[in-house]
Formats: sequence, structure tokens, C-alpha cells
Amino acid sequence: MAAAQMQAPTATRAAVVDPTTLSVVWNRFEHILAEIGDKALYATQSFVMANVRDLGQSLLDPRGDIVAVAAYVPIHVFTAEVSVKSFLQKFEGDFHPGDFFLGNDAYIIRSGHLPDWTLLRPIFYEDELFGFFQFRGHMADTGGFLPGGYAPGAYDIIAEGLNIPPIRIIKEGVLDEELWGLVKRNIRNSDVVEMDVFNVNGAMAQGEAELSRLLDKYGIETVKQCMEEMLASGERAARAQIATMRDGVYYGESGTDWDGQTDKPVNVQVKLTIEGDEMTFDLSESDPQCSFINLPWGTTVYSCMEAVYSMLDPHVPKNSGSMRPVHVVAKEGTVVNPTYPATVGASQITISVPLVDACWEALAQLLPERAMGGYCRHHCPINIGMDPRVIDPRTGTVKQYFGETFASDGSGGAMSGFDGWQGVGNYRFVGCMVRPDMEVFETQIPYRVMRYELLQDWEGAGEYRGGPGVYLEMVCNEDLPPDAATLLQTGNSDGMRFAPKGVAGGGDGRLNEMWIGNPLSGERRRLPTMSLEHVAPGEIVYHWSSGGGGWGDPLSRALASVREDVIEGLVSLTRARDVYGVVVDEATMEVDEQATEVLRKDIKAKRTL
Amino acid sequence: MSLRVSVDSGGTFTDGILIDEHGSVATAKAHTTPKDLTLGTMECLSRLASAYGITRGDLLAKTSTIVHGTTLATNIVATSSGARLGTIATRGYRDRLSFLHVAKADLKGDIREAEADLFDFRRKYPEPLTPRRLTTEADERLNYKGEVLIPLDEESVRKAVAYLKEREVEAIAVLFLFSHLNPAHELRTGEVIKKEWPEVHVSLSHQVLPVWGEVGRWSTTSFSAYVAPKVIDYVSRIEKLLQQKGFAGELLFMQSNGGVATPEIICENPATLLASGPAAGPSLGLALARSHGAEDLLSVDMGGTSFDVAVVPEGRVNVTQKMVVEGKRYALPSVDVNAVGAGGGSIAWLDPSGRLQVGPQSAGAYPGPACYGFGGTEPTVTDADVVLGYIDPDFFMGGETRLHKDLAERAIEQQIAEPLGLSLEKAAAAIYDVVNAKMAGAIGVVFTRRGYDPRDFVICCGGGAGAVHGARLMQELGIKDLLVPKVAPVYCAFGMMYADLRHNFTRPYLAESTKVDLTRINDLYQVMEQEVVEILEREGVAREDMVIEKTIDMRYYGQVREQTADMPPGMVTEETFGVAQSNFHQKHRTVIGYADQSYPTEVVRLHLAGTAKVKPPEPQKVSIDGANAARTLKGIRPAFFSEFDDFVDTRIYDGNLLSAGTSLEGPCIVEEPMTTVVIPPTLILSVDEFGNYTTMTKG
Repeated sequence: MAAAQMQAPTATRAAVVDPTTLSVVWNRFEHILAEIGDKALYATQSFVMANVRDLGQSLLDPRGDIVAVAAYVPIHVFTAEVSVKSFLQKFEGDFHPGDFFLGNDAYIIRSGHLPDWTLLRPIFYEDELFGFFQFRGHMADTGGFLPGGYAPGAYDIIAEGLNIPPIRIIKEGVLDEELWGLVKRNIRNSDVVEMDVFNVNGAMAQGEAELSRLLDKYGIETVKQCMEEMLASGERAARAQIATMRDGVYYGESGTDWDGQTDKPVNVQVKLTIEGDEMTFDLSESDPQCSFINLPWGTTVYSCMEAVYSMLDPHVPKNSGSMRPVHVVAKEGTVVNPTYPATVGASQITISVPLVDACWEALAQLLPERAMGGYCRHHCPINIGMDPRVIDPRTGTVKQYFGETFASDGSGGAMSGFDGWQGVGNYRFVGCMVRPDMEVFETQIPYRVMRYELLQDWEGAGEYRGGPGVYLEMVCNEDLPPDAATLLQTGNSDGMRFAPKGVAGGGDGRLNEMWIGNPLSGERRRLPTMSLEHVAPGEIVYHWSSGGGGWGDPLSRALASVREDVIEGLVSLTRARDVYGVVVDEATMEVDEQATEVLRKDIKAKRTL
Repeated sequence: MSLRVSVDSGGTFTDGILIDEHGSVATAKAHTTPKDLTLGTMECLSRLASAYGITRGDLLAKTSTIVHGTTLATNIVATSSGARLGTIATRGYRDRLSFLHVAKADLKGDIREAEADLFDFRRKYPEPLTPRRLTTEADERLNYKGEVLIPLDEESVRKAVAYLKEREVEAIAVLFLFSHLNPAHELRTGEVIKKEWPEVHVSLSHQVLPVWGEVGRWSTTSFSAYVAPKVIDYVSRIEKLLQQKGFAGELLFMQSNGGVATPEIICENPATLLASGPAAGPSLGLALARSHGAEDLLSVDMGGTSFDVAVVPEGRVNVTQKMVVEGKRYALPSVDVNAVGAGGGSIAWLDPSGRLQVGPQSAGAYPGPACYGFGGTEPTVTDADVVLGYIDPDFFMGGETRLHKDLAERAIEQQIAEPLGLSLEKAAAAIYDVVNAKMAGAIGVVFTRRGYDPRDFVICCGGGAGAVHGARLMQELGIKDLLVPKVAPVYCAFGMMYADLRHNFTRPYLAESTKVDLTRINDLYQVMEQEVVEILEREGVAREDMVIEKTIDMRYYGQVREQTADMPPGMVTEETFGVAQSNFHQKHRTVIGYADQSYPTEVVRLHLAGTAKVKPPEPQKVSIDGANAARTLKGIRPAFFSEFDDFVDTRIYDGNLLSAGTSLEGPCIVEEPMTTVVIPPTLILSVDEFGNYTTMTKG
């Protein structure tokens, strides 16, 4: 399907390096990058990096263009397009072998929120700057008035966390103890962050050694030509795809529940213009900046690219080349292009994901066959607190934890030909979210997860349906001292006002819900998104998370698939009848084909009235 | 009682090998008979007997050991033809294994998801082994210390059993939280099931694999129950059948961990067969490497569609507990073999940007490469090998199959050469180079991810297609030496004869390193040692022939994933524990690239492996008549070598006639009945005393 839209390969015209060498070098780049990611992932102590692979890495040329990427969480890979330029601006001409840089500043580096640190190592070959390894990942802590980087209610970006402009912490292999000491002194669990940072540097150093073996073999000039060709072929492929799209203007919109301060939804607006082989996303009509969910520019650009890449032929090379024909514009002072010192804590999910949804809505009008039903918005509170009974051997002080079950996230949207993937969480993690073992979770965090299951009738219906909804119930351990700091932060959770949308006639998913109940008093309180709650020992947290949006008319869903869903308990008999127009006999579980045909005709007729 | 036999039953063919007391070898091949596997196995033995010139009855009577490898369990999983499986889980957890627990990027194990698939979900979700309608729950709950929070409600178990019985399941997996810390509830549930329904197969998660983390333990337990009825049926029938036909020796089965076990032990945990297919190759590679004075080996087995590699450092076949099978965790110790997703059948294609790609799609066995003439039109690696003159179309598989060179040429011309503006041969050479680079890249990751440098290693190439690419892989990776066993096409079947009796045990033990209880650690090791000794004794091994190896999983406090470090033999003392700790730091430094000796560490689990060495077979030596190589020259044909950037007339030798000590200068090609060895211009090939091949660089 997608391949049919592709134009004939055009490499013959522009190829300056032979295709064999190009392919070999490209494969090697991807392997080396993947390996750096594997090592960082394997060794990390950050709860989110370890469990949802909240990290990514890319290879850039000396100009700061992304040349090659690896299959990791793509937000961390492609924000390098914006972030690395700030390091170049500051240190151009002052890079040395063995240097190592980092930063997170939302208004200088502009990659995203503060806990996602950008780590950068220049790559040298025989004293020549060859390029950069870039790594970005969610660190175990980044200072600020609450742990972990999500701080709803922060007064400004300074309160939200430590703001680190581009700094060099290792110069020619020697650690700048004073500078690094200052950073460490201002973050929690600093030894954890330190080891994660040094692991990445070590893995990159090994990658650099491997890269120099490749350069030994092919020569630096040839490899540089390959890099140019990677960018050029990315650009050619993207332009060829855009050129097949109908010129015109298309609109999309979506929003997030609220900003944690003012109880009203915050909206993003997309005006997509297709002109020849270029496209422009104009986001200027989006709401003004507010608090907590403002999106730094690097992620704004990436969010549009995430929508584009997911709709194009998957084989379009993903690098700065294929980003060239895509333009993003937004007015300063809007929620997608905020100004200092607006806070940004939740933005990586809670305005970025709606922005992708809005871009999808615009693109779906061009490419309905490639469109996907919406994914469940991220919906999982973060457990933070101190356990006064445990001394952490790393700090010698009381244990401070930060984690989440990642178990209450919902499901994926449907595609033409495929039902949505169940329980993969929001699209941002592209299926890399690995739900941690509850036996491990309960060992580290003072809760017990009592129910962990799929929900009936929570999917967006369709010819292809979204994945099912997810239900989770957890108890705060009764033996925890009542004065322990035990907080539940709904931080970047979303979706209590915006359900995943169906496409091409498919149905929407449902709205997420969170409650805390006290079994002693019988009292129950609803937990809004982007907030912070104290949980008492014995209290129970309940979540309902939506299934994904559907694709196509539910009345066209294959009878056998509906029957299967009923038998599996994912769709009730009532819903099978009312929404899918399929009559299933309760006793035999067989489909009454005749009754179904009549019913489906009947529902269709009523629709047109 | 002097014959030793191995029978390797794969998806399509069953290979048999026999070696007698003089080192003479006979081989045979029969079709695998999926409907009743015993037929194919017995047929293979009949053919083996006739290849050796005796009757099957004689063969069975004279055989001391039959080592049997079977992909039965693997195929059951691959074709979803296992037991109708029901589960009983802790209340609230019936859906636990229905959630994706392997990242989408890792669903194919070591065949990593490509950048192209990053944003793409257009494929089928990996279904759990138990359909949701057959998942049930029992009321019970333990906490993370193994203490009982909710006592087991036996009535809820009886209800679950009645529900599953009504739905006619064939096996039940019992999956309770924290059962590895306190197995009482699972054990009692097992008893209740046996009482209610004695016929059904039951797998308890703490017995299959007592480790922390419900997903790995439950997923592996589900595999075990899923394959159990068919595996137990086959194992017991073939054992009985062999006895009836006169076999009085020892029958051993190849396990995932690279060792062998008796039928009785296999039936206790049938999942140990699941990853046994490629597990035997490395043992043979290691024996061969040792005969050439090397202890660090890369074992490569390249067949028509698959490409399995294993790094064997310091003479030790590594095991891993991180396997992914059909998108699900399989956590029993398994030989660390990686499927790299490239082989003779890998398809070459151009992506939208005009980039030449090879694989991961494969033309499979049917229609297969274009040159098979079964209607395949996509150019594959085998097609490129034919066009480049490496494979003789008239002598493929010893001449059993004729290949169509014209079809190979047409496919490459149309799909690759024309669009890229290359000549036919340049396009074929590009496919060859790209697949080699891709395989080398993937192998490179296998090395460096485990902290090894390929330049210290030798490469041993088995499988039908391994030696066509082996020399180039060696050069690409900077590997020291190439070895090609005489028995390359039956690499795994032969490797089984080198496999030792081997059993792995593991126990959870979570503690900060400064607070470990050495008595407790020694107790746990001792319990495992007793278990392994008991099993090996049941298998007829004397105590003095057993080798016990201990390892320990450690991590920096707060890490989620650990490194396995060696524990010195004997009782664990302050001192030996310290040695294990520094082994951990060292391993972390080589594998990750950084270590910090002052950082707090913790212990996660203990492992113990018990091995009883099997006497390796002694293959016959080939003659050393010093005959001149010219006598073995079959002919000359043009073959493409990148060093000349062109075809050159290349000498073709008959491998069966080459005598020990022969040296042949590259470029040349040696043809064995079932495999081909391609030697580039810069190398010299020599034949060792057993007819195996090795190389050295000229000059």
C-alpha cells in the first residue's frame, strides 16, 4: 500500500559514493548508536529510562545535522536537531578529544523539560572533528522543589529544577570537579545521576573507538561523502513523498486537560499547508502559554516530525535531511513556543502528544489509509516519597524513591488492516514501554498492585478496533508510618477531557479516570491530572484508562473478529449488538448471521435519517 | 557397544551421524515426519545403519549413546500447535501476560527492529499462549517478603479447575505472585488440581524457574506447560520404541543450555528443549578451535534462512536468561546464540531513497532464491553467490539440486543493477558486500555488548552457506583465523556428540553486598548442589566426574539489570565474595564502558551449574600422502573478487580428495559435497589432520 505510493528510487542521479560503501557505513552507524543505547539502558538506575527506555541517541555531523539514528524513543533522538546547535554556538572551535558536555536548559538548549538531559561527546579521528554522539534521557533527578522533574505549581522554571546551560564537565578526559560538584550538590540521588552520566560517556568512548576502526578502513573523506549522501537521500525521499500529496491547506486541533492551575483545557491548533514538495505546520493559533505544560521548541519541531514520520513510508531515512522540507512555525508566547521563565515540566507528554494528535488529524485528510486511531493519553501517577525505614546505601540517608507502575496506561489506536496494540501506552513510546514486574515494583515502592487487567467495552470501535482499556488498583502499604512523605503525582497524566479519536469512521475511545478511596471512612476523591496528592497508608488508588481509537466503520468489522472479542470478554454482547451490529447468541457464542445482516442494515438506515 | 550416534530432528530434515571406535563417520538424512516424529527418527536411524553397512537392529544393539536434538518444542511454539492451555493466576493478575512485556523493538530477540520500523505498528500483536477466556484466578496473596497477606482459598482453586476442565484444557500453568519466596500456595494448588483432575498436566511457576520478577517466571512457565503434553508424549514413545528395537544404551536429549539430559529429566521441565536447536554448534566449534590452540571462538552457523552466531570466550559456552521466543520472555538458561536475520535466502532490495538493503525479509525455503526456479523473483544472497561464481549451479548440495543461474541474473539485473545503474556483476558484488558488512555489524554488536574484542577470536563457520562468507566476515571483523569443519553442513548434529551432561539451577537472593549473609548464600548453593548431584547421579554419573560451577548476579545498588560474575569454587568466604565483587566491577567496565569500585553493589541471584564431561568423539584423520594439490583440481571457473574488482579464473578443488597438510593459495574455491569454501586472494587455505580447513594471511 505504502510502497505503491513510492516513486522509483532516485539514487542514481545524485550518488557520489558507491552504494555498497554507503550501505555498509550506514549500517555501521546504526549499530554503533544502538549499542550505546543498549549499554545506557542496561546500566541505568533511572526508573523511567530503565523501564520505558526513556532515552535515545543520534550521530551528528560537525554542523550539527542528524545523520543517523537508532531505534530508541525518538523524541530523544530528533530533538538533537535543535539542541545540539546551542552547544555548537557556544563551543565551536573549542572541541577536544575526550571532551564531554551536558545541558538541559529549556530556553537555551530548548530540547524539552528539565529532567531530560542532553549529553554530547565530540568524535575525533586523527585530531579532526568528525561529528558528535548525542544522547538524551530522563535522569533520576534534576533538582527543583519536587523530585523527578515534574513539579506542578512551580512558580517559575527556576523552581522547577536545575537549569543547566551547555557546559563541559569533562575536558580532554579530565573531570571538572568544581563545576560537576555544583551540579551534583543541587540534585537528589546525585550519585545515581552521576553513574548514569558516566556510563553514557564510557559507552560513547567505546563507540568512538569502533567508529575509528570504520574510518581506518574506508578513509574519512569517503565516510564524510557517505554522510552527505545520507542527508541528501533523506531529503529526496521525503520530498518525493510530499510531492504526491494534494496541495492545499488542512486543519487539525486537539488539547490537553488543563495546566494544573486554571481549570480549563489548553488547545493546540495546526494549519498544515502542502505546497509542491514541502509542507508547513503553522501552530500560531494555539493557546497562549500557561504553566507546567509549555513546550520548548525542540520538542515542538519533533512532535510535527513524529506525525509526519508515522504517516510516510517507513523507509524514508529519518535524519535532518528528511526534516528539511518540513517547516514548523509558531508565534512566540504560545504554549508551543513559550518564553522565559514559563515552566515546562509536563510538556513532553501533555502538550506534545495533543500536538501530534492535531497534526495527525490534518494529515489524515491527505492519507486516510495511513491514518491511525488515537492512542490513549498517558495516564499513570508517579509515586514519589521517602521511606523513613530504609537507609539508601548510595546516599547514607533516608531512601527517596521515584517510580511508577506504567501499568495503568491504556492502549493503541487501530490502523487499516490491524487492531490497535493493547497496553502499549501513548504513541510517544512507540511500543518501547515495558511494564515493570510488579514483584520488583512492590519491592521498591510501598504499594501493592491488587488488580491489573483489561477493561471491557473501553475500545474505540471500528472495522479495526482500538486496543482495550486498562484497569489498575493499588493500595498504599498499611505498615508505612503515617508521617512518611508518600505522594502521588499525576504529573504528566492526561486524557480526562480528551478521548482518543477514531478515524475513517471509527469510534473514539473513552475518558481516563483516577480516584483515591479510603476504605476506613468510605470517602472517595477524584484525582485530577497534573496535580499532587498525599496518600495515607491503607488508601486505595483506582485507574481506568482508555482503549485506542478505531479505524473504519464498526459495522464493517468481520463477524469472526467481533465474536472473538465477545468470547475473550473484551466486548460485551450488548456492545457487539448496538455498536458493531452483530448478534451473538449468549448460550452458544455463535453469530446469528441473518439477524446480524438485518440489524446492520437497520443501523445504517437510521444513521442516514 | 562402540558406536555413538546423534540424531538432529529439524523442521524439514532429520540429520543423523554415527562415529565408530576407529573414528569413521557415517551420515544420513531423512525427512522429518511432523505427524509422528518417531517415524522420521527411526527412518534416519535405518538410513544411518545402511550408510554404515549394517542393519538397524545391529546399529541399535551396538550403540552406547544416542544424543537426540529436536526442534519439536520450538516448532510447537512457532506454529502455535501446543496444548490448549489454561492458567490460574493470583486474583487480579489474569491479564498480566497479555500485556506486551518485550519492547516492540526487541520482539524478534537479537534481530533488532530497524530504524524503518520505529514508528510502525502495522503488524500483528504478539498473542499470549493462554487465550483470555482460559485465564482464571485464585484468591491468595503474598507480599514482597513472601509473607501471607491473603491465605489460599482452596474453594477458588476448585472453581477454577472446574471451569478449565469444562473447557477441556490440556495443561494448567499456576502463576502466583512471589511464589519464588514462598511456594506454599502454588504447591497446595498443585495438590488440589491433582486431586480434582489427575490427568491434566500442571506446571508451577516456582518449580519451572524460581526467580524474582513475575513476567519472566510466568512466561517461561507458560511455555513449559504449553509444550509439555506433546514433548512428554514424544520423549516417552521414542524411548520405548528404541528399547523395543534393541537399544540398550543411553538416550540423551539436547537442552537449551547446551548440555544433554535423560528423558526423565526432560519430562520434568519440557521447556528446557525450547531453544535447543542451535545450542550444540558452539560445542563442536570449541573442540575444533582447541585442536588449533585457540580458546576464544566465534561460532557461525549459516543456513538457507537462518544465521546463528555465538561468542565462546575463554573456552566457555555462555548461557543467557534473556531469550525472547515468539515475542515472549523465555528465561531458562540457554546457550547465548544470536539469530542475526541474514542467510542465503535474505532478499536484496532498494529502499525509497535508493539505498541497497539486504534482509531482514527472507525468501525462505519456498519459493526460495530466484535461482531455485520455484518462482521466486526477488534477488537473494544465494543468487548473488551464484552470479559471482562462488556456488556452482550444477554442484549445489553436492549436485542434488540444480540451480538456474539465468534466473539469478535476471532477478539481480532487474531489481538492483538497472535501478542503480550498475553492471550485473557489480550489483551482485554489492549484495555480497552489503550482507557481509551487515552480518559483521551484527556480530560486532554481539561481541562488544558482551565486552569482547573480535580480534582475539577465531571464527568457525558451519552450515551450508557459512564458508562462502566466512573469510570475508573474518576480514571485516579483524578476526585472527578462519576454521571450517569438515562436517560443516551437519554442524549441530555433530556438535551434540561434544555436549556434556549439564544442568543449571538458580535461586533468588536479594541483599546489599555489605549485608550479605554468607551462611545463607552457602546454604542456597548447597541446596542447588544437592539437586544437581542428585540429577547427575540419576543419570549415572559418579560424584568425582561432576564439575560444579558457581556464578552470582550482581549490580550497582539501584540498577535494574545485572551482570553475572564468577564465584570462586569451594565455600563462599569473605575473601571469595570479594573476588566475585571485583569480577563484577571488571565485567561492568568491559561491557558498559565504566565502573566505580567505591559504589555500593547488591546481590540479586545465585547460579549453579553441574556438568559431567562426556568423552568427545575422535574423528578419523585424513591421509597425509603429500599428494600434489593438482590431482584434486576439479576445474577452473571465473569468480568475482573485489581485490581485482573483476572476475578472475579461479581454481576449484574437490574437498574430499584433499589430504592433510595441503596448502592452497587464494583465490580458490573448495567444494565439499554439502558446502563450499571461498578463499579470497589475500589468504592461504590449509587442511588439518582431520580434514578441517584453516586459513592464514599471505606474506
